[in-house]
Amino acid sequence: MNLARIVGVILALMLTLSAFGIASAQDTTIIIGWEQEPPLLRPRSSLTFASLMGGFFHRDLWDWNGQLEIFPVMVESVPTFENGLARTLANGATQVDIVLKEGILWSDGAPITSADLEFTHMIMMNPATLTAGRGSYPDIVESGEVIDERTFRLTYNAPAPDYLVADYLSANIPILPAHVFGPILEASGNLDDAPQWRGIDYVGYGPYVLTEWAVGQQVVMDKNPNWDGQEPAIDRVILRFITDTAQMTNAFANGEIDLAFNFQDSLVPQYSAVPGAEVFQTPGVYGDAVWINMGNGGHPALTDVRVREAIAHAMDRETMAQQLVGPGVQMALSWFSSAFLPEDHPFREYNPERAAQLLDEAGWIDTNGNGIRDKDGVEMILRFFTTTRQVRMDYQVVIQEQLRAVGIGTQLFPVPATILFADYLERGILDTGDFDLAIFALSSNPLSPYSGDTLEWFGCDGIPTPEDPAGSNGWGFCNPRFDELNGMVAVEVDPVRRLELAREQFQLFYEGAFWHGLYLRPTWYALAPGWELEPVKGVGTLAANWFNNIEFWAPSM
Amino acid sequence: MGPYLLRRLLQAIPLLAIIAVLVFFLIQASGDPLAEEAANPRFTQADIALMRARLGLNEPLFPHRFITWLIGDDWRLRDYTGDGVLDGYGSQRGILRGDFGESYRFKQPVGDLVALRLPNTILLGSSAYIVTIVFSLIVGIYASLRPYTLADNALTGFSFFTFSMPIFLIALLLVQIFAVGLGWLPVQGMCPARGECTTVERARHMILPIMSLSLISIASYSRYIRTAMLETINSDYVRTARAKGLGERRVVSLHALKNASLPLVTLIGLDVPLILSGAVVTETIFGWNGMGKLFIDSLTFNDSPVIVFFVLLVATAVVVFQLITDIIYGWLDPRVRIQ
Repeated sequence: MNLARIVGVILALMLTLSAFGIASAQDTTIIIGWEQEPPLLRPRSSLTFASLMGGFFHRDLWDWNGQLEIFPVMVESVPTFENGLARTLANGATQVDIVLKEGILWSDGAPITSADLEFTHMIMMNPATLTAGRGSYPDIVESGEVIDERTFRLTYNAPAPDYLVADYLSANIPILPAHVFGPILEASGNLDDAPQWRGIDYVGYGPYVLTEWAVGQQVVMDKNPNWDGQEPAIDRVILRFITDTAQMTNAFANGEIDLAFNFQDSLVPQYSAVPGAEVFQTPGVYGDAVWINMGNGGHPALTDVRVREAIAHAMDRETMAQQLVGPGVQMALSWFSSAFLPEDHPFREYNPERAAQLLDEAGWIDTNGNGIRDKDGVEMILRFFTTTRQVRMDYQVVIQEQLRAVGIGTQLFPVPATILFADYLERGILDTGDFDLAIFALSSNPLSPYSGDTLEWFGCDGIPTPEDPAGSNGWGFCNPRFDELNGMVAVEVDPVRRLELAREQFQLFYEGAFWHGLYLRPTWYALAPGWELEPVKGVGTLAANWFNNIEFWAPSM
Repeated sequence: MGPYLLRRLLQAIPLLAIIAVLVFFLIQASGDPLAEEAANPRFTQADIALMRARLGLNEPLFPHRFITWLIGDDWRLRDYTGDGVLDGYGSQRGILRGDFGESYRFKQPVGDLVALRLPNTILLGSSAYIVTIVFSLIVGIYASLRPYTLADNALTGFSFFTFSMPIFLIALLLVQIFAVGLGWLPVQGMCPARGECTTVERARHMILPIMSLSLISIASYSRYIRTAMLETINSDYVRTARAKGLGERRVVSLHALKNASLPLVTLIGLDVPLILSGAVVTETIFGWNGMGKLFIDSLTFNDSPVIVFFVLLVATAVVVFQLITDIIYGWLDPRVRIQ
């Protein structure tokens, strides 16, 4: 036996096989690296990556561009009070006419009519027809009515100032083709097991149609011949599932994918090092923050607002954001959307001396000389949780050092998200209040000063208890005036008055000092050579619309 | 032989039952399969309650969910909407009646999920195993015939080097060399994104995963073979065979190798069942849509029906292959007789 001969044969075989793999020159197919394969399509899957996928083959009634400006998609024009398509009824309730564009078609060629809107409305109103998130729609919509072939009228049961941004028909469930889903509903009673959620015979309204879903491998989409919008310059879009972060980078470097996105900040240098690659970011809407358990069984020190403020002053959040996330990253000033914050919204700056002073005033002093403050025999050692996301764990370590510098001890617990976010009955760490500090992101509505579920997270009744485990206010923030304001903001249709009320609410939130923003998570993109950069930069920035301008992408000349 | 096989199979039943029950309770206690939805503001508490009811998670773990898992719920009325009202008979038949339930994540029967992935895993795993055995034999025999020479020492050093490397590192190194560096092979996937998935293309996509899986195994298997061969080659009956004038090739392949392969059979008996479980790291890194990837996804999302099925599948395979190993032992070594 000759080992050298054997090795030679193997290498020759590999070379031979590699000859088959020489890819053709640039064609009009773009391959996008997709880090998470949703098990089903939206709305049967709640994963962000399911919603993002929908952007290729199923658009909504209206949408927002990268500057958060609204524009019509399925409708003739966005309904507003100014154009008369929205109005306030005598009882104060809001009524909206949704007028579809003329002649628009589903991807199978069937016309899109108000019957489809009526069908979707019926599904939204009846949870038994489809397991999916519906937001507050069923609670605040009174009725839906077909006016004519293209017009559908929604009547709310109260003033609905957010009828465009949160409580509209396709906010949670895409407009469903009645001719496809109607027979399924009739036959089986609900749509949960419809094959369309697995990409089989999917009928949508978008620049592409879903041609093939090779589970575990990729999704292939081709141009939709019945799309009435801008004709895509790219014939085929392939979403390639690559779950391993390092392999995503390798596939990009190797030219196997043309676009990678949503990668961690620490990988920016690696993507930038690929010759000809363009790397850019869009501003984030998810804000990571330190959450303090102020009133749900946390450390006794945390019930004192001075201690919670001291924790904020002890953290050098701006430096951490620049060094742990990246230059130019935005700070999260409030859980509420920055678009509605007053210009002078306060911020607790890094000031360890002030932190020490506040802790002294609160009576937490290091009496035994061990470097950790204590009071009445209780040491100030806090249980500090986060998920296993790397940047959060990095933050944990740096914050631990900074808190230690002012005499606050911490024990670090990075845990899987399924354990941190599990609900009360499943003994979730947040819901049961079994923590003192935690880092994670909770999205708010970037398009409105009001987030429908605010009281679930911050209301007095949202604190989970054995008797009422439904809420998610595991940190125990409770301010009756905050709750009252929330109800007022929900129904105030005068935008000026609404903003006033909302800002009073934001101030109370700030004074609670249980939420200390760290940074707004930017979304990173890396584009391979061979594609026009500017159209790609026009991607959406909301949680689910990053690919809402794919039809404008084009190969470079 | 027959009674022996029957006895061994009967012994396996309580073992598998204990494993299944333990895994069921451990997985149920390890987190909330709806945690993702619970943290998603699109879902109201009513939505979550409805989903919980649909999955049967609104019922107590014991006895309700346990009994459903065992014998199904198609014989009793269930509350599917979480409103406290019994809506109708359930649809599950239970593990004892061959129904492993529906995946929480994929909303599909576990059997369907496995049917899609198991062939991929068997293809990759068995190919890697064949490569491992062939190359282990070549390297092991080669080294044993030249003990303590430069070649033997070099192979020993290489074996220790690869054996001490974590598989993800080997995989990523191979990718860096053969895919990113030389551009000979694809980085990941089972087929190219563009174009048809021909047999040749499939083979190209298998090379790096197979190399990753095989290198460590070859390192360890070849050491066993070398040691066993060294012992056998110096034994009296081999000397006798040589004295009778048999050629070296015949002595090695017919007389020495057969007896030296006993430890290899033990190793194979232990390792082959694990092929079914997939190569968790390798499949994840290379995007190979197999059982290992399914297992990791299921663990991440606390998809207990899939996890329980997976563990039972592997446990059953271990029992069966141990039995097969015993039988092969008897064939290889006539001194071993199954009673």
